Amino acid sequence: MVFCSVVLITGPIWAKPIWGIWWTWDARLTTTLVLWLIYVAYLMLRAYLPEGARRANLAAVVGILGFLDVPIVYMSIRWWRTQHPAPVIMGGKGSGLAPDMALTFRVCMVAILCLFVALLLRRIVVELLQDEVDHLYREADVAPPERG
Amino acid sequence: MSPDKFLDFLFAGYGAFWTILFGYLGMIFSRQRRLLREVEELRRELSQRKG
Repeated sequence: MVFCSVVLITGPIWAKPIWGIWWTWDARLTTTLVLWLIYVAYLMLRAYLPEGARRANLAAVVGILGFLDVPIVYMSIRWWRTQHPAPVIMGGKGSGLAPDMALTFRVCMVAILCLFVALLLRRIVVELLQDEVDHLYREADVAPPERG
Repeated sequence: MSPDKFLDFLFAGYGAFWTILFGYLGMIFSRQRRLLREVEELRRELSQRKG
């Protein structure tokens, strides 16, 4: 969700000087926006439905839908020729980056992956803490405060 | 587009990236702090009841 938001906000900012437009309904942008909306739906379901099997099932279905949209986002510039350019990396014959750019790209990929792992681990720690708090409220037989 | 204007867009994009990232980090750490406080308070209450 965080990375998808980054893409949807920085993408138009960087597209404007190159394409002359902030946004267009091209295949990649639209499928990415759909992915973001699926993540929003997932988080809203988790936050607002009462805890139980129904919430878990619905959230799982929406999560699977999001997972299915990821390869569609990846393949969108291969399947449909719209505003986005043809793939530069793994785009077949004639594609590829200049060596300097390829090194920069790899370093950036590693940095972003490290950032992702760090955020994921932090998020896991916070969710474990949330579980502990819920457990302690049950043990103390106290209703947890309403959280907005 | 002039190079200066181009750089404005470039840095606006970086600004958006860091703002979102630090906003998210701030959200996570403030939630973690709140949960740690709650754990501490609940443990204290439970130990007072027992003891």
